[in-house]
Amino acid sequence: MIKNGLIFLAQVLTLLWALGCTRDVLNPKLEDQFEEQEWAIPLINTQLTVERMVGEAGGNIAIKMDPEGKATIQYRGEVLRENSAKIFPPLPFIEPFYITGDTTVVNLFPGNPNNVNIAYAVFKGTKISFVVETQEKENIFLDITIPELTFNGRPFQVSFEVPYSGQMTTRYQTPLIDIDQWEIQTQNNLMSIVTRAVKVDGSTAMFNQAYMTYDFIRFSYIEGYHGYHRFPIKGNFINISLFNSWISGGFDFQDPKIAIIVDNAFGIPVRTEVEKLELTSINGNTVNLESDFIESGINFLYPGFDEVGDVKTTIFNFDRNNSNIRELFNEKTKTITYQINALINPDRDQSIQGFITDSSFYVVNVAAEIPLLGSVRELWVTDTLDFNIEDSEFLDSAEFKATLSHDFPADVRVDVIFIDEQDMPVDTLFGANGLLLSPATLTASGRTETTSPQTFFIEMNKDRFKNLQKASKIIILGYIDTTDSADNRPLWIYGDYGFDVKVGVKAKIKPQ
Amino acid sequence: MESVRMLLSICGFVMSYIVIGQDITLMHKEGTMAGTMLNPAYQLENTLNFSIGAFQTEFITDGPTLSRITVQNPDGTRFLDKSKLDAGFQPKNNIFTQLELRTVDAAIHMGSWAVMAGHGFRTQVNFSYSQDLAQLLFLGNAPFVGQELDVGPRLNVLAYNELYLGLQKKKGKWSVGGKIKLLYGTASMFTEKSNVTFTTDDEYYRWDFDNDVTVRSSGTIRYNRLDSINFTLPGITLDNFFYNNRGWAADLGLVFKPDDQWTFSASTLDLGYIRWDFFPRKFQSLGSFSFDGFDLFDLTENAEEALRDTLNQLFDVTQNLEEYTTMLNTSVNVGATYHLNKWTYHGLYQWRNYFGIPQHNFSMSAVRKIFFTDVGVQMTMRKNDFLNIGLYSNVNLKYLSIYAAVHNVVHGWDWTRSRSFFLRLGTTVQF
Repeated sequence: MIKNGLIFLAQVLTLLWALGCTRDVLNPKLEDQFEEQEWAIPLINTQLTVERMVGEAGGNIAIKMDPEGKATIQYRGEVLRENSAKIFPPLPFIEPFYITGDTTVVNLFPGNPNNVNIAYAVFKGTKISFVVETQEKENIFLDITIPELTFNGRPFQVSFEVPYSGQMTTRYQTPLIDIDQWEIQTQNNLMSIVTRAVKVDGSTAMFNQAYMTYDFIRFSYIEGYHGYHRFPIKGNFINISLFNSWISGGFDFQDPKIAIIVDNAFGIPVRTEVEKLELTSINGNTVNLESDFIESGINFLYPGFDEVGDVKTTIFNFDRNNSNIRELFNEKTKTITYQINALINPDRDQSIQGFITDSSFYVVNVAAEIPLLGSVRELWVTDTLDFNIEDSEFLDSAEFKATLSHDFPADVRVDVIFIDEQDMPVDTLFGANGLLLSPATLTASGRTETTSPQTFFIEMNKDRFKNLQKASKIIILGYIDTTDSADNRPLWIYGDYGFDVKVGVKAKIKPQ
Repeated sequence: MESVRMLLSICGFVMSYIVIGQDITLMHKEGTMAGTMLNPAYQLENTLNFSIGAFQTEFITDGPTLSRITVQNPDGTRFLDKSKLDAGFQPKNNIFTQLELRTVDAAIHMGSWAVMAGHGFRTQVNFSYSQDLAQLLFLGNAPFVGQELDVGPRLNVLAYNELYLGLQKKKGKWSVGGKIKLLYGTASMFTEKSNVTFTTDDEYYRWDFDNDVTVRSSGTIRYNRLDSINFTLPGITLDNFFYNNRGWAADLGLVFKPDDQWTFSASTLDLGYIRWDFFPRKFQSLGSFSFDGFDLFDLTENAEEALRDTLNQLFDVTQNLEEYTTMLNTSVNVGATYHLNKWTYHGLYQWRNYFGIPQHNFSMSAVRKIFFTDVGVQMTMRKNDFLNIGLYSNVNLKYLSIYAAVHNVVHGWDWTRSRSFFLRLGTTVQF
């Protein structure tokens, strides 16, 4: 924000020069020289509240406030979102179900590496057909029944005639039969196909080969044991930009947290297994978060059979009570790196029956939360940005007038130093002592009273402009020291705390 | 004789501080069609009377001349002298300009009656600005921080074609005349209200505007935003002729000739209105508006663009279509003429309501016949312009006469010291 403001002010200076160039537009009737004009222009009028600053930052940072307005900054990590297709994808056709006798029992999931055991399911969009090869020299008639496959309680049954082809072998395939919305109830994934084949005279017909084929197997609802699945959320990190600009000083946040938030619509157990959760400080030191829950994993809620379609949300916080996060965080955490696995049916207990629907999903969020309760002790932060200002023949001088007030219970100082290519100081915007703001007064409620407006003037004459042309960068230094920071007195920062910044300029424009 | 001449001159000079008017040149053309433009009761001398291609243009300001507010460097370059600004401008300053082109005017004079008809195209413009606005533009707003400035300018434009039919009647020493005019407006801009106060706040130089502005237009303005206002002033045109923007007006005149030497005249001209119905736009800006700088959160990478966008959206300007009526710039003229041998002396007072701003002009002139020409000197006095000397010449070629007049010949060679310019040309034909 300060960057934006300084860039803007530099542009305003350039614009004022341009204004000098456009004097003919301002005074079109006079084509000759002019004496000096002086324009007073409002430049900046901003309420820089904590809520706005965080809100406008975008990216992975957000702010939330409790009912009293106390602020918590939240850095969101990446999100893992999985849907039912990941756990139970449509099964493409691999091989047909061969019919080997009057009653043939087939396994719906041959192979079945995840030990899936479906008790009940509803097909979605699946189409089947039957193929028969026979050497009978006449038409034959087949009647096929699948008792486990029902629709409104009626078992699946199909009858069809195989017309004699006149060849040695007759091959016939039925048209596709849509079994969308048909239900299947099985034990151990088994399904029986009952077949009766007769000739015209009613005698049993023989066939060389018969089988049931399908395009794919897909369900809209599956009930049973869905197998063990493990989905890694690996290599992600959260960038805590709060401390990017740190130089020196300390702070003590009272209750930083790392939250794992899971939204789960699967009716089956989900556990988050933390393989690694490490915090890297701005000095490059990396330390693992320690917590019993790192070892045991975290189980998340899931909807029961009477809650199909509901989403269960579970929030788990690694906080000062169950981990060493406060100590780690106050070492100025820069990034949080995590490797987390989402486990479906983590205990591989096949007695646990669950369900998934074709719209089921789960979402895993990882976030760092910093309630703005704490103290900041003599903290210096800095940032550097490029600076370039061009020569002018028209701008004679400018006087910036800034009026500032704020709500923070802290001494604040801002220095802006212009440096050249050799990193040597060229000028300071606010002089040797910088811009000093007195702390807002704390009240008994823990909130503060807004400070009285403080007014500052910054003179820019022609010589100073000329000098600033040597500068190629601006260093911004900020200093913060909260009230009673030496005693680590924790203070809340409220979302509506902020700076009220008003800046105007009087610019003298004079042609040479 | 010389004493009479002197007396008339003194009287005229004194009266000129009291009065104002249309061009006295037309008094010199008494007896022709040109004379009826000033007073429709001026008796025509011939049976058939024509005026062809008469032209008049005028520029007047009652504000400061350029030399009044500027000084020159030794190298000749001119710059603003801030010390003169306070004294140079009046609280309200006006610039008036007008153009009149008469195509044909004709009359038949039979007995004591005369019937007149003709066509003319007229454009009249007034720009009014305050001392505060001028100082703001010349000095910037910084010297006026905390002060309330009156910065609302007014611009009025009236352009129309007129067709008229007139009659005059002589009875004894009196004659009366009148014209009924049918008008068709080609362009209008009418500043109904222009109350704009501007204050630069002391805290951080916030700009506060308090607006009560209503501007009406037909065929002149298109407003998109502050930096996209299209102003078009149509040239000499027959747009809307017999279709839109119709109006009516009248000229009335009275002349008394007690003897061959004296003529006393009075007239009122352009007593009428135009109803504007061709895309009659009404623009309004009403309320308080502030430019209080930028919110840092709204800053873009282009400060100039951001500033331009913000200022363009500063004022809430509404526009809608609404017919309106404007009154013509009516004038009242009172004059006297005295003939003495080859000399003729004229005195004319004119009161003119120019877009609601009253003007008073007093003119006097002396014209002498020299062979087939008339040569004269004329002087006009008006607000802030007390010694406006002009020349008049008329060449008579049997049926045809050609006349010309210019004003302000003294300052004609130095426009920086001049407050006005006037030129009239015309021909009359009489049988």
